[in-house]
Amino acid sequence: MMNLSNTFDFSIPNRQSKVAILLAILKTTRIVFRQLVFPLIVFVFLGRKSNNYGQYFVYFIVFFSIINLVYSIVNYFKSYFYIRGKELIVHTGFIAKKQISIPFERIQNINFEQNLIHQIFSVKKVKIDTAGSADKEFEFAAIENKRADALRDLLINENHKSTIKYEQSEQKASTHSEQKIFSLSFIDLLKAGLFENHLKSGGLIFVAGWYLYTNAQEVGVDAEDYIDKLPPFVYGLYLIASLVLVFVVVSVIISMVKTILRHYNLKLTRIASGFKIEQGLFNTVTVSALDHKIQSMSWSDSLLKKLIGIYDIKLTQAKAEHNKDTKESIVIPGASKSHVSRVVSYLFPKENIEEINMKKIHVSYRNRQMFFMGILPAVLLIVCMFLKDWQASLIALLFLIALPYYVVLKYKKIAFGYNDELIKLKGGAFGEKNTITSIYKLQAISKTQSPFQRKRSLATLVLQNASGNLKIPYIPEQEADTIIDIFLKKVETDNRNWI
Amino acid sequence: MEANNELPKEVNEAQEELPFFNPQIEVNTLPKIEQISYEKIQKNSFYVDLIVLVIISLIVIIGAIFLVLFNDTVRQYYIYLFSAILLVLSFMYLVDIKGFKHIGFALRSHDIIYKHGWLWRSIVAIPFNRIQHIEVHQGPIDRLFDLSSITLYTAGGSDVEIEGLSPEQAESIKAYIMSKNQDLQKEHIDDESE
Repeated sequence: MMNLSNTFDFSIPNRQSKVAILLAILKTTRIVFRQLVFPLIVFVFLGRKSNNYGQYFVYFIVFFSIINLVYSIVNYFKSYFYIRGKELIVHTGFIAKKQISIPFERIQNINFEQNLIHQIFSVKKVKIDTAGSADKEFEFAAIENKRADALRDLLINENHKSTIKYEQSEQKASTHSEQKIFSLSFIDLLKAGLFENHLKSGGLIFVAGWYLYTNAQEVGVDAEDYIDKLPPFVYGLYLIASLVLVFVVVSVIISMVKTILRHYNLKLTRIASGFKIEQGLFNTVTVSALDHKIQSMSWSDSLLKKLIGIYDIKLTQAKAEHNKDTKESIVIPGASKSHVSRVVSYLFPKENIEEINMKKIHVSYRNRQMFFMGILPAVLLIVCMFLKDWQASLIALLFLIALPYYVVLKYKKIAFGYNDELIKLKGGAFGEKNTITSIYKLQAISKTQSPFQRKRSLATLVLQNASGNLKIPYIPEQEADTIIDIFLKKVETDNRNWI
Repeated sequence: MEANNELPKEVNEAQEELPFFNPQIEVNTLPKIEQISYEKIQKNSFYVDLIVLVIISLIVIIGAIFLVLFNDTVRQYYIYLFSAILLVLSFMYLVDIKGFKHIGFALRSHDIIYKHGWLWRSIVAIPFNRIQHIEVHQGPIDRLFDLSSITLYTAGGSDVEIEGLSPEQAESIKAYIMSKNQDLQKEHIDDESE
């Protein structure tokens, strides 16, 4: 890869691409449209029946959108950025002027995003993620591709240098040594989409259908009326069967389309001590994550995915303060076993995760869970049988068998293990989920005990890292205490950068 | 910026060349978490909790009385209503009274440990070098009873709040942790200079 940093001079004020103006106009149009589409539908359907307040509402929205647009455009000409010393400085605003200075070492990530408009004009949306307060995060709506790449190279490089210094290494690594780890073809993605968890997409259909149904009523179409007019025999098994069929087909299509839109042309690359992922069809997103910022890695399959041997890989990053969403995780659907081990070997080069001795948790976890999961269907079954509602009894009986069975499956999978460096957890019910995290990245360790657990000298261990909690339920209390002692020592004596 | 055309074979060599010490840990020699003696929080805090509980009970009972007086349907079932309220409230008192004995904290040279809970017990250990921010807080009721609370924030999300400390205790805990954590000291200096 060519070193682009020399081509652009960032010490002088740089401005965003003019495409930013176009994007601002489009954004305003979209907001206006979204705000007005429902009032318009109501207007069309109800005609003159609606009162005049609707009109004022429309004027109000248009007025403020135009003001907002003018502000964005003037703001464009008043905004610029440059690099001074070890800081990225951004000037923005014309009424309330604002200057943001972001020290290089605070920069966590430079992420790119390209939607269709960006792609047409060869520009990128650049997001600068920082450690710490949210007011130092920044986003450029549009910067020319090459300028954006150069900026990222420069910032990541500088950041990396300081990290290396921190770790007292003589080695000078550079972002220019990029190695492709793997990419996923269209077929891979089709497979991943086909074997996706369709319940999620099904939920989406349900919500959309319900939304349409209620909104249709609002605009004067009485859906219940249509249902009443249907002949009664349609309510039979045929209707249910065809509904299920439609449901399945539509869910599969939605899953596939979603997977392909989001992950099209997925490419995972190894950059200096980190990973970079590029993906997306209309909206190309580039996310990079440095090794020391990755809090945990997990890979999982499901009942369907196990059939063709594919896994979902997830690399979680520390959540920024005040910013609780986990968008920054790197998610790769449909990776093969060898893909998984390649990512593992890059992330934990010195460790052999297969050698970690995995232990089972206590069997009373299964028994207690079975008891609690069984209680509700059992009560339901008794009540239904008492009421002589045999159909409902059958359903309750099914639940009474299925829920404990689910618990048994879950208990069979749960296992935990650790060595000097890593913690490995296994879980899942129908599929299998593996999670690995470094001990030194733990933030806090807690132990909880219910009255029952206390009686049996058991405890649940909760390990917190910057991306979430890992739970090890129902292990002997003594063992939990020992693990706390060992892990605390590791965290307290390890000076590596953990975020 | 200089162009670095020399491609390292494997980027991870950077880590490989670090001096790497990996002494075996004798688990028995580690400081043990079950042998810690915990410090109690202030007795005043127990009274504050009780007062708050009494106020809540009064509000609930007065509300229930009004309901019974002015609503005919509720009046028919007043025995059930009051026994349910009594049951819940007495449980809350029990949890409060019993629970107080189980609240405790311990400072060690590298971490702080906080325990609480009577029926469901929990212990949290936070290493000092993972604490990002410390806040000492005093509410209006706290002020009346000369109490403070301290909150320890980590990047882990669930933060630990120790209530019912004396203001001096809270400040000295804060000062102690700050003295153990260089990052916090740096941040402190940053704050002062801003």
